[in-house]
Amino acid sequence: MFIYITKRLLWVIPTILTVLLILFSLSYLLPGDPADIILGPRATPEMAEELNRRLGLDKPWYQSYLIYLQNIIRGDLGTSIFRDRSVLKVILNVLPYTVILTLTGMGLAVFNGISIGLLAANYNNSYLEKFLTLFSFITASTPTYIAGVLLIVIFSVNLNLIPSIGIGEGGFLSRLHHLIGPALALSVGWTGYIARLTRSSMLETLDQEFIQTEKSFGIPRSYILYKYALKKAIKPIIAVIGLGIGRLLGGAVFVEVIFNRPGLGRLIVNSVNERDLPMVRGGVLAAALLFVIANLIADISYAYFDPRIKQK
Amino acid sequence: MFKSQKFFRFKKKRIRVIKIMGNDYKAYLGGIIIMLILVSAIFAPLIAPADPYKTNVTKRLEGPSLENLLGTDSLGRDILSRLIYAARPAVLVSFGGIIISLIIGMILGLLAAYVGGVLENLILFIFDVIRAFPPIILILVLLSIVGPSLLSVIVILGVTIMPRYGRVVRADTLSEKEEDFVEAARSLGADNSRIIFKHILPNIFASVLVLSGMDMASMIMWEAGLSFLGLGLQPPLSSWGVMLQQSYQYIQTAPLMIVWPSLAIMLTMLGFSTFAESLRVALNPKLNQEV
Amino acid sequence: MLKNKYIFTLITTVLLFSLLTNPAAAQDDSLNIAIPGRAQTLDPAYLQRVLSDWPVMNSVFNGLVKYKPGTFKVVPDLAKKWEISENGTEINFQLKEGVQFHKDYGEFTAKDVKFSFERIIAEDANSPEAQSFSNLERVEIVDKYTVKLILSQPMGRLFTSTLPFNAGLIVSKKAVEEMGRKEFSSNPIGTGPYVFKEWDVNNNITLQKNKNYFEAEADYGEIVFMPMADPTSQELALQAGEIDIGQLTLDNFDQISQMEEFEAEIFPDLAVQYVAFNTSKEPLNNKKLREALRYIINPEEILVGAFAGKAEKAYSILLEDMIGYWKAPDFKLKEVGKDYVWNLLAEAGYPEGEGLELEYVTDSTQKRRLIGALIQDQLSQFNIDLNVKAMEVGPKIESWQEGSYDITYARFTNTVDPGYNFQWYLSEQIGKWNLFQWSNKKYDRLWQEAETSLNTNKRAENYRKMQQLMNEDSIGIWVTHGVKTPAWNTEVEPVFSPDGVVLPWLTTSSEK
Repeated sequence: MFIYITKRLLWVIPTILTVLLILFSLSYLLPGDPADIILGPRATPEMAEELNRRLGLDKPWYQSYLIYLQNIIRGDLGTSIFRDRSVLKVILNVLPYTVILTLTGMGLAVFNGISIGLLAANYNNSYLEKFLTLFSFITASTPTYIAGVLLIVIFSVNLNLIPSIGIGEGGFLSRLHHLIGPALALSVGWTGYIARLTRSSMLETLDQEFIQTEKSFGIPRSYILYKYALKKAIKPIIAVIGLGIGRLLGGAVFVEVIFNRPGLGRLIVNSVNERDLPMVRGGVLAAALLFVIANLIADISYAYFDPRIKQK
Repeated sequence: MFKSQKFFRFKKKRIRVIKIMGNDYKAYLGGIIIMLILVSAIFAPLIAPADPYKTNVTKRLEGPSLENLLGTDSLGRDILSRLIYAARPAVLVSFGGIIISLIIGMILGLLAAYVGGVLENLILFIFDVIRAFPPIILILVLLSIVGPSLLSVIVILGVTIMPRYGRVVRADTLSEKEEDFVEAARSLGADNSRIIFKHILPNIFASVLVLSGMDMASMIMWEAGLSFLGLGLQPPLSSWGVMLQQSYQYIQTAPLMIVWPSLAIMLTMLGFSTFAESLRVALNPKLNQEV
Repeated sequence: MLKNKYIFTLITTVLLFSLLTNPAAAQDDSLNIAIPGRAQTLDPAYLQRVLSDWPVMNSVFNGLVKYKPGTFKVVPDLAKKWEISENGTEINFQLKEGVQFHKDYGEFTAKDVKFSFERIIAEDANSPEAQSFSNLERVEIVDKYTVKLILSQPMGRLFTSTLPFNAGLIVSKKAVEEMGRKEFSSNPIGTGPYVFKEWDVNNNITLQKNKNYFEAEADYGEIVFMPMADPTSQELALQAGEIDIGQLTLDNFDQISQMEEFEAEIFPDLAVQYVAFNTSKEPLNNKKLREALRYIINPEEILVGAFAGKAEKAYSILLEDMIGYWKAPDFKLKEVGKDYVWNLLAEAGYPEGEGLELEYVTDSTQKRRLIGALIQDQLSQFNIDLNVKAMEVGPKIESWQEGSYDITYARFTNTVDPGYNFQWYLSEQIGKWNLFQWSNKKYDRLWQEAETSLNTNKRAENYRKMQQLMNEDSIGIWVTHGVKTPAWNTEVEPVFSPDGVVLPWLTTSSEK
């Protein structure tokens, strides 16, 4: 186990270095003269020159890359083209919003998914089970942005129950209230997935011998279901949570844009549109790091929790 | 001798698959939806009641009527016709994307499994670098480099998903290589390409097929998402994502407008994923957690 | 297991509770205004995005003169009065006394005026506003409260667009020198009704009331400018009470403005939006063909399809009541009949329109795509193919500057000074912002002449002639000046400029 983790960790280093090289090369790949896009019609040639100097476009690429790497090691992700703000500071500032959103979304997905899955497992082979399975497929087939838009149309525009915009001011309740829509939208896709996983995992467990034995002793069904089966069946679910968090990070891009929330996803989308290269690099790097970490946790927890893998 | 045995195994399997899927409502649901979309895409000009590009600003944003069954959009174009025509880019993106990732993924996966050594590590490394980015962010950045168009969307989606196939193909090939019948074929002097085409590919077919179904749903989702962010296909091509983005502005005045493209996207995804699930149950391939 | 149940119950209760209580976002002493994108800089000498930067700067700084609220009439601001010399090259300003800069940066005096203007024309300043002061030679300090502008030639636009707009805003000399240009651009120090407080990572900009303002104190204690690029977001935010003032989309204007909690108004915009033909590239270097296109492309349909019929047709770069306005003739397909246009196409060498394929470059915003689809459909009636290329802003600008398009659509921000508005179509702007890729020596000469003239009639005459030249060459189609559609909740009473830009410091609360 320990060797496995170390190996995975070591493998991450060259990956991240290559990711950095790719991000760095963006300044040569993105079309359009950055000066024109960033500075607009009112720019003078001198402003453009200054900008190119700041983007490192006036030096050979390998020199710029080395400088870029050196700076990153020192924790300096560069400064945004606009307002000279430190990219690291901006990212650290918006990151909590994305993390909270993703975790809440995952929490909702796990809670709702397990509930639906248990219900389906409990009433296996009934019409309710068929309906719930289909329902899981439908939620799993709902892209985050459609869920978000439909939530806004129904609950914000028509029923006026949840706010559609922003993060709320001040109080904890207001913030929580603003989190409902986005987190729900984010959770929809994985709710279905977890529900299906719970159901199949439960059924598998219920088939196992010791539960059959318990049954024969006349212990109530619901007691068996929760006390024994769930405990065992929950392992593969925990194992996929890490994977899910990685996926939800991607979904957060849409949620943040639709609900106009600050966050890593919206930062990246905006910076790509504005050609704020240092910000794009920093944002994508942060997203990639988070993603790699989430996947790493997923792999490790899989190896740890999933009995089938363990046997291998 | 082993050849006839193999054949027998195959045929039996096929019968079993058909039997299992025949009893599964998910297979019918998925199959019908996929057929519906394929038919819309191929016969769009015959089915669509109106010209999807014909504008008529005097009757814009109208609700459903006998003339325009699903109403009209902000330029007075018939929404139903646009929906039907938009099945074309959806089919192109999902099938095109999957074909690209299958081809690249298979070649790289087979290479990795057969050649091994440095090349194998290099290929695995490329896969890992691609997989280090959240897919939507990688797609976003790549698209802003090459510029949005139908072709670039297809290629980029294909490349982004490709590592999954590469890894599955490699893993399956490695384990198939050790199977007795491959060993036997080799000892009988069959060359590598023969082994690949006759023995290995048919055996990894199951996992790849199931995966493809799931990924085609994702591709449709991503394409629409990109269009929603304004990075998708070019007009006049109307994809469901483009329609979604256009109707978002009217959620207050014409909320029904956004329902149609949403339904189309969800139905398509539902079709691909239920069919894939049904296939998975029937074929029961050895898929690991990575997929 | 039992413990988990409690946690779940707790979470569910809290969620339900927060669902039921809709905590009103109404912060009473704070005025929240949406701006259509993040501000770029708060240094007036480097203004980049008029719609986002200007409302903030306008609240923090004063100029020597300003537009009287609600008009484009120029009235004194930091200057008490002024005199212009006979030949128009010397202007003497008497300044108000005792005006203090924000945050203890001292009293406003003549040296700040000299500094503010001369930093723009300085060689190493690289200020995009240098052109606004093109004829300014130097600024002379006569005494502490008197300052003299020395011009090399009279400047037509000095009082119409330079001084009352961003280039004329007065910054604190001490502050700029202490902080340096970069720091100052996000920490502005002026004399205005609001003091800069914070520019946070979400790009919200917070200003605080200037309690020592030399005119009437503003009503709201705080203003927050929130960037919201998507118009639908602004509408939703307005209804959710997140912002007090925002813009509506034209399609939703009627519905939302009829709601009880909101008021809204339509203002004509100063900008001009037009379809531009690339006159220096095959096939649209053919004037006959351009003429045919002027008949085929119907701007009225664009106004209905993309502007919900709420914007008026434009017939000039200028608004009707501006000096130099000349109404370009309408090219209506209905009046001449289809056969006439078929003939034009035949004369241009494209009988039946066959084989004509044009490329239309636009950005990927919703409205521009709609316009592309409309023009495409209009041209298809004459068998002309239009390839619509919707690009991101970057590649679009690149394509504009390379001139690699046949038709494009653009919106150019204008000021009340015609000289500014006409400069983009000079020959020297080819490869920059002359989207017609059009060069006309006569036009250039007329513009130059008008720039240095103080004679309003002469200027007006020249501008009219220039528009006739553009019309003769059929270089494009003016579509509309556009509209601004601000909406606000009834708790606030905003004041707007004639072109619909909110003047934040004059906004009052109707509750107090």
